[in-house]
Amino acid sequence: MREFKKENKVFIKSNNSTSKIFNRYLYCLIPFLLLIVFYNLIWGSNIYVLNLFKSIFISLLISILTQYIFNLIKKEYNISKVFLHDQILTISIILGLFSINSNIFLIIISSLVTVIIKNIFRDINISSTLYGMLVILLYSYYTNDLNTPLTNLKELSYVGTYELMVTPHGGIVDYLFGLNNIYLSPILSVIAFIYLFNKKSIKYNIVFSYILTFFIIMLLFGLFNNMNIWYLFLQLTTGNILFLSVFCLTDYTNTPTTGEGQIIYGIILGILTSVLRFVVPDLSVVISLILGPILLTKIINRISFKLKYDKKYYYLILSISIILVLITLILLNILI
Amino acid sequence: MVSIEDKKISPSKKIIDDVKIQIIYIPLKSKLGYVYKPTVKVGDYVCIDDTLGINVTTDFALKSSVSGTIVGIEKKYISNGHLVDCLVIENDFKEKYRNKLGKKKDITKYSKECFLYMLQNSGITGMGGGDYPTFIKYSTNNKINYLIVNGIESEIYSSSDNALMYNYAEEILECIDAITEIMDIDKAYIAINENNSVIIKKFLKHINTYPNIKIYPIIDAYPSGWERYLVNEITNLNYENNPSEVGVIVNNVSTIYSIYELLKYNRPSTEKIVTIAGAGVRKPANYKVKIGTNFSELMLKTDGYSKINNPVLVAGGAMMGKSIPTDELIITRDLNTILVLEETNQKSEKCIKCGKCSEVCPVGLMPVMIIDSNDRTKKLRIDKCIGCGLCSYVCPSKIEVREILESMKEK
Ligand code: SF4
Ligand code: SF4
Repeated sequence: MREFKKENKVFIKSNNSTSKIFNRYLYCLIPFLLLIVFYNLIWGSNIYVLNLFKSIFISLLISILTQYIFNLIKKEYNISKVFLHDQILTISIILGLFSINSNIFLIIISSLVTVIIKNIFRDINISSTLYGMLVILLYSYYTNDLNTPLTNLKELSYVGTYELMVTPHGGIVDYLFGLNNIYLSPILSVIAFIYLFNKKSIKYNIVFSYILTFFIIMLLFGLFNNMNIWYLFLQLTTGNILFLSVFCLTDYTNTPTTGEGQIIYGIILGILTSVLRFVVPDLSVVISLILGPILLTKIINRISFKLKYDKKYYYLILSISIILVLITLILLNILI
Repeated sequence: MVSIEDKKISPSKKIIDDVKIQIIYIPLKSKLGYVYKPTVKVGDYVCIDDTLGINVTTDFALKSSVSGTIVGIEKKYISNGHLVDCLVIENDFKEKYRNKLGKKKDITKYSKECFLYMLQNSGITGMGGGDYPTFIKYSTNNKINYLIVNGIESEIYSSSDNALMYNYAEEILECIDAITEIMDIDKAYIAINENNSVIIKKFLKHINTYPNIKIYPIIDAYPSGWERYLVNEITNLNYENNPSEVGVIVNNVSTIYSIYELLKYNRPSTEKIVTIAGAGVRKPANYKVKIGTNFSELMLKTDGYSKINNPVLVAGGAMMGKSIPTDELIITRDLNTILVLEETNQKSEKCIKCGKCSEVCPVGLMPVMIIDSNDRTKKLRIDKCIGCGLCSYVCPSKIEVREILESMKEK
């Protein structure tokens, strides 16, 4: 008779792992850094590149230290865990990208806020960076007038031309590749999404439904107000809407777990972003993405369970979504 | 459904059928919990097909697979990981029958009553892993429209059914035809994985003689052999508890082959093909052995184990199998695969709420929600879990989701 270890489990496992998934997010950020560095070294200013490294370095330093303090409190003394498990690298790079033009004090505060929120609310992971971004953006709002052609529609006799919408902030290429040093590249965001989708490492339903809802609302709004395609283009390429939807909207830990739930989640956040867009353009995505998990995830998880077993709920949800989109459109027309 | 890498033994590889097993163990309790009251005692001489015990509630017989002397009752492991009492028979290798009948030429010439009576007395149970007495499936008052023969082996190492279909395609077709004739069933389908072209070709070679039997290719993914999925995929019907509610009977190919032997030779098969594989086995192959073979004796008489770190013995496939603490494991009708695998010891991490477990669950459960909501498990239909293990397989945090659900179910 030969003895064996008794172990009740599934004896084969997929080769996917949490670290692989999280590392893929990290790899996706590298092209953003490279693009900024090379573009600015060749055509832009070296100062901008230095600022980028400065902001990443500071946010990395502060984040690592703060995270390690939290780990020490939890009696986890191994510093490598900070890098391997806590996604500090990803968080610091995202924060660094967002705070290139900020002063050191602001970078420190935003990094601190991010890591503290991440550790206090344990269900928040990469999207804790949204709180850091909020600090940076609120400060910018406080110090600058950040009105863009998206908000001051009232003052324009007609809107939607290339000259009016795109040229003042650089040409179409600048927008698509994020070369105007204002927003992160939408093209690279789309490529990152395709990569993560291909590697089954992203809750893609959220991104699809979010962008689609936002797109439909903006398209209808544009059509009702006689605006042409450049208006829509600007809506989609500004405010880091694509970047944030790929990297923060899909944060694993605090978004719905079923496909159905993820679609509903994306639709609601798409509507929320569209409304906020006309109040606070650059903050719209950030605020929506912060509010989403707080208000929606738990309840959507419950609803999606009903959806799985009773198909009539599909029609109900579809009808509610259409009504909400129409209400949003009316609201937006009143707002402007 | 999820595509999982394939580690099957080719069906054309020779089945090893020359291992002589001296001591046979016949469990007095089945995987599903049917208890058999022994009708023999220590010292009795038994022949093949002699009744060894009776399940009183179903009046179902337990049969001997060898001829020899009852030498005792011992506790051994069976496929569900339980230690159960087994009748120990010392095999005299004489293969004696009490009343051996001749080979029947036309196996369609049985009445329905006779067929059911033979099934009940034969001890034939589901051989695809279910272990359910086959006569109960056929003793339904509902009109049966479809017979589905399950030839799907979605577990990655299991290939015993493939080997059986490869070697006995003609016999299987003959038996299906007989069953449809006897039970007045309109149509029969043999479900086979669409990529299993070798087996499909084998059947296609003979199928023209049987116009009411069709091959139904099924997607090559796990768990495409799940009964509920097959019934829905092939007939578009859904049922609550049992396929016979909607006029369908599902049998595994090995069960069909066992019925074939019953109809042809008036006795059920006494042997069974079992896949023995994994890194810890020196000679992975399909073995044809007597029902009641002790795995430890089989390993002693074959090439045995190879050296690996932390070996685990698994009765059943890598996904749904049970870990057994010693190799005193009895090969029963329902056991198709025995694996000796290397335990990888992957550490589980915190759930990242990725939802992959919900995405893949064939029943449509939301495992992560069930785990998080201790008090609402019933509402979240935990009882519908079929234990396929896909949730544990896909989990990137390497959480044993199925085991957690099973322990919650038990509570
Ligand atoms: S697959 Fe694993 S990590 Fe993902 S939600 Fe399910 S239990 Fe959590
Ligand atoms: S083991 Fe249960 S919960 Fe997990 S995937 Fe299979 S049926 Fe669903």
